[in-house]
Amino acid sequence: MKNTIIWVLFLVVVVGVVVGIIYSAKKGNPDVKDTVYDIQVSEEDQVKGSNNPKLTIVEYSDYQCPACAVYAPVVDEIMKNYGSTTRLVYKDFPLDQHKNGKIASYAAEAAGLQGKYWEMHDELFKTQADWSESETALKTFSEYAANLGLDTKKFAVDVSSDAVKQRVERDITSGKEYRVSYTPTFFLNGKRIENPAGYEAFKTLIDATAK
Amino acid sequence: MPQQSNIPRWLIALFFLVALAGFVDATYLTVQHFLNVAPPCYILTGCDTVTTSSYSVIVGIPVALLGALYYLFMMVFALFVLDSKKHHLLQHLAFFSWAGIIAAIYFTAIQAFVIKAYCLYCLASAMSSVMLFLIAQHKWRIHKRHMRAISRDSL
Repeated sequence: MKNTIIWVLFLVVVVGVVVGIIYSAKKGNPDVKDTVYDIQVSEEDQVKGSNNPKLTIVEYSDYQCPACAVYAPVVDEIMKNYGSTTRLVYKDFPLDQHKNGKIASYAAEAAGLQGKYWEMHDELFKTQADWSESETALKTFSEYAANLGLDTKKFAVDVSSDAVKQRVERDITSGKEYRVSYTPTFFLNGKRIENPAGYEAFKTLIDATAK
Repeated sequence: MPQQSNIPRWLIALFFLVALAGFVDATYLTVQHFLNVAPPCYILTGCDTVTTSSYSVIVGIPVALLGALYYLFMMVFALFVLDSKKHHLLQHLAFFSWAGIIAAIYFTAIQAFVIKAYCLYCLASAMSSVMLFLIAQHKWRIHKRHMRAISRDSL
């Protein structure tokens, strides 16, 4: 090692790069502001959990978004452990680049009209890879409806009805109003949060918000 | 044994700059991999289907981390050659750079033909690897030519 200064300089640059990148990544998304939105929850919304909640989680999500599918079991676990004090409101925000995202939202809403919204919701996320690029997604969703014991004739009518389409459009419009630009986007008591890195991180945020 | 070499300084500097850029890029992807459950899908730029695909991990190790280690190794090795003046080791540097260009071609092909989506940071890394390969090969060629000239002169 003849040129110690160069080696020390090199080490400083490498450590600096790594620390700098980790620091800026942890500092988070500058888009997440402290704005608290008064997100309206109506009777038409898909809600589960507490009727008298201390905390409301609003999730804007897209059934065809891979990240949303990754978060689905995390949110499920949260609701299993915090369901007595927490309410989850699922809002549809299918993105334009997902060819079957909107149809999947219609299928979930149509199942909801027969009281099986969350069952269809879970099934759609679990099977996302099977239908995402399918040309016959609606047929697949009808099979799911049959497996869930739904009236398939009613499901077929509802899935293409204006009422169901309007529900989804209303969610999309509201998401844009609250400046949703990616999925999933979570709001805890109206405040948009940075997507947590797993169950533990989500739990920490919930504990902090519920205090 | 320390040797003289006529490799231009700008070429050495370019090598370090490109390797550093590759290192920053791959480190960023590695940190994102470990900090995020899954990168979200954006309205404008879409989903990050590449860095979440099954091709982003090899036997449990994120490809981005392998990339970062590759760039770090290339910088350390090049610094060692420079420091020790053992320029014949440039042959090894040129050899190692094949790993980078093979990985660059493989992962760009996976993006183009299998996942059918691109990740900007992955393409930038591929570009860094291609440039490192070209510079490393060129440096070795310059050194070889130089050594041949010296041996001719000494005859």
